[in-house]
Amino acid sequence: MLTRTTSSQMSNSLIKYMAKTQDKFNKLSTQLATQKKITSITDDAVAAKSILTAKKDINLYNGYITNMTNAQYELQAVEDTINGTNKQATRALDIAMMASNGPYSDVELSAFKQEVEGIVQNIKTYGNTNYTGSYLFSGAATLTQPFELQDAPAQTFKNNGDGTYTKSVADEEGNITTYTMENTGTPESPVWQTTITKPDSTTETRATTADDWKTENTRNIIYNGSTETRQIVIGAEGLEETISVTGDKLFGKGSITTTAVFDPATGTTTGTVTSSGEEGLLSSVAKLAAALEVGDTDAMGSAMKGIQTGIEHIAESKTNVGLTLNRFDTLTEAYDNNIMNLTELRSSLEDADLTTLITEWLQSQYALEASYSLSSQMMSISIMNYI
Amino acid sequence: MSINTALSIAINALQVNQLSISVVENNIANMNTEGYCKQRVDLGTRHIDGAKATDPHSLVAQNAGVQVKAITRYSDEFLTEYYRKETSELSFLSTESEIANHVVTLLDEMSSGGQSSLSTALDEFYSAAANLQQSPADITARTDYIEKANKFTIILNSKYKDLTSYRTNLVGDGTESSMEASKIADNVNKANSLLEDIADLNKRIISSGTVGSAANNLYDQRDAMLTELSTYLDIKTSISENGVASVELNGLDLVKHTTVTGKLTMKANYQTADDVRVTIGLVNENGEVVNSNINDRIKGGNIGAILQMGGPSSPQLTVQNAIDMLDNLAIGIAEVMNEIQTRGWIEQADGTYAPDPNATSFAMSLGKDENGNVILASPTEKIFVSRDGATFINAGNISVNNNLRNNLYGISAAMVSADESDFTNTVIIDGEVGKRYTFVDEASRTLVGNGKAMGEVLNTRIATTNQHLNGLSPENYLMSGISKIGVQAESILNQQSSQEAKCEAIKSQLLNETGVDLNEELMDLVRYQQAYQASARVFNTCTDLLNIILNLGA
Repeated sequence: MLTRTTSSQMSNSLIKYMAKTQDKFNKLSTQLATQKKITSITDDAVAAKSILTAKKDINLYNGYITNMTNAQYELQAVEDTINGTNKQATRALDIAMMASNGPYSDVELSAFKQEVEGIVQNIKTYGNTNYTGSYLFSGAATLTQPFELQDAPAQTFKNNGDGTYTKSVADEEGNITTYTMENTGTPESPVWQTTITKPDSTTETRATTADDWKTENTRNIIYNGSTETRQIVIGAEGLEETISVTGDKLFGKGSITTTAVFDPATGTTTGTVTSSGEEGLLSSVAKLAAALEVGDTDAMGSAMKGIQTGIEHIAESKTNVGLTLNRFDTLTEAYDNNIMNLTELRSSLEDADLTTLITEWLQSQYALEASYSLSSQMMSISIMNYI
Repeated sequence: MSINTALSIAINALQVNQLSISVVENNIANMNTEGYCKQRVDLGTRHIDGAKATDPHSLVAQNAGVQVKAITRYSDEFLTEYYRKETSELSFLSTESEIANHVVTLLDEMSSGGQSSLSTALDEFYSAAANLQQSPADITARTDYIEKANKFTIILNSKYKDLTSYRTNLVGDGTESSMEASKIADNVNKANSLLEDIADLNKRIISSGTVGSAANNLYDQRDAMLTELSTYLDIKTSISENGVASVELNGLDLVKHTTVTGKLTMKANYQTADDVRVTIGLVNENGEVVNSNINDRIKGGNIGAILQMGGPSSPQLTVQNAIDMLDNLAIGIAEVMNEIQTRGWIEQADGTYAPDPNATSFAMSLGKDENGNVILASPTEKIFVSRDGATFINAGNISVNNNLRNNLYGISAAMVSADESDFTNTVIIDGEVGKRYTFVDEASRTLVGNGKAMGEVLNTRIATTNQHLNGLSPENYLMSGISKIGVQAESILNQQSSQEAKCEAIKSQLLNETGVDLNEELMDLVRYQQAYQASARVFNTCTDLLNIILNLGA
């Protein structure tokens, strides 16, 4: 049976088909303009989810990389500081070896002492390095200056040249008590008396004791930082890495006490240096300075050992920092690869292939033009033209 | 048979063909009129009864020419009804698709760059947390963290507002005034108006009779209205023998005979437990309630789609689903971040925080001791709160605590292992002097570079244990929610496309059966013209014959 095809149906169908062709053409034009295949989640929800997931994961990995990059700068600052400290420590070790292998004149020893004192200050400065507002070696106490050299109130001893000797002892507030020793006997049979002048100027005289001939000066190397390190997140499932080196291990802390005892019979002074607490690099170099001051060769030897241990700690810390930096490099490379793969995935899903798209766009354009042309011709075909 | 009889037949033929030509003209004129059904003139022979069967003259005299038996309207009730049913489904899907597309556009997570996208805001928030983890005491890092959190809440608020406004535009917000201004009200009013018009046309069809051009035009008008009505509701129509159309909606009578037996009414439901904003009911011609709630009966058309998409949360896509997704994101992120911000601390009646005797892990913010040193101290505030002071948080009211924005030290970046006895309540200066907890041990107070709480924040980027986020990270929850909406929207779009093709096919068939074909009309025109011309020639011949007779005696 012949199906009746009406003009109304034909025009209706033509309009619909033209609209569809035009819609496709518009869509391709939008894709061409944006160079994206998917511009709305409804274009392809499954692909859109993959695109969004890839975008999120790229951000996640970029976040880890940024964390590590920032930490790398900080660790490089730590490494530079450690290298500087190492140079200072090596020089202190050289001086210790030279001094203990003497003999050197007092002038030479004094020069050594001054240089080592400078090294003490330099190492302390390195220990207190501040990087973008945080102390590098304070651990988690980033706002606390980690190292402090605290000299206890000074005790001095002086030969007055008139047969008397004076020892000055300062207290915490800086008030000075003087002990003046005088021989009230004969040179052959000396009878020593000590006159004590207190800060309030009152005096007291008594027989001289052995302690009156002794001065003790203590230098404390104080670490105010924390032993708690800082960590950053560098991966999924709580993957963390320590990004700080605490100064207590690297530079050490402790007390150095220099004891000098004057012998009035011989007119000579015997000095010894002792240390307490944890012996680290800074305390060992300080001990060396004190030993050079009083010429305590035993103390020089033990300071040398301490400096060697300190250099070993430096090497260890440097290795740890290096390992962390290597880990960061490895992870960054891995994450970069992941990002590259995800970017490729995202691109393959989202980005339009220009060659294909332009071809499709041209085809669509031809189809649209053909439908316009065809429509006008079809609509003009009518028996009306023949009657 | 006299010459006058032949003349009479010729005149009659002229009249019939003239009428036929006018029907053709009417067809041509309405060939593009939506819903117009082609009309055809059915001709029949006209004869006069009473002739003697044995008299050939008498038998010929019976032939009285041609007459119009009927003007037939090309229609197919079955196909038309089927088309209406499918049109109703198409309207439902088109409206659903339009709403779904709008929801997807409002969520806008695909746009590249996407400064206003939630995923970008979350990424920036986590980047700021990473910076703060590295520099917990740095005020710039703290500012960045809190401002990125603030940006996230602003975007969330904005999207919530857009979606809730959109839902209000669809079905109102539960109040009468908003319902009256809503899209559903427009559709219900139009549907009611169509019901009235259909009942009125039924009346006019009865008065005009069931045949003839006038009745056909009324049928066309009524059919067009029924088809239009099917775009609003999934109606079913039945036509009685006298041409009257009855309309029902899934078993409920809307139009019967010449009366609207079920007019749609609307009732705004303010704060109903099931979050249905509007209830549609039916009243009869006297305004009496026939059915107070027919929401479940409306399954098609624009009204069905608006009711569903503007309805409460559902396994199908609704605007409320998208709002719920944003709400869960807001509640989830607030709970997760507030827990980290105040971990180990119990909020007291006066708003301060005291250590939990059972806790072993404590979040710590910063403060200053009496010497002005920056130290670790107990938290002072939650990070995410409701803007309007409401007891609940949702996507519309979530905001960053302004007290924290004014006191950046209050952000808990540190997390320590401790117990209650490690803390003492002492003077802390944070803008104004007050008492907060800090460590008894002075050395522990200085651990301001501890960024472990931010580490906890960063770990939530992988997963959480929050029920509102289904145990996912906020970013994954957001993506999962948006993808689900996207898949549903795409599915609706595909269904709509498929339904469009189906409707198009039925419409083509319908147009082929009932539409006007120009060639056909032109052929008819020629036919009727030729018949008219021939009849006129007969008329001339009869005139000539009469002249001959009249001149016989001349």
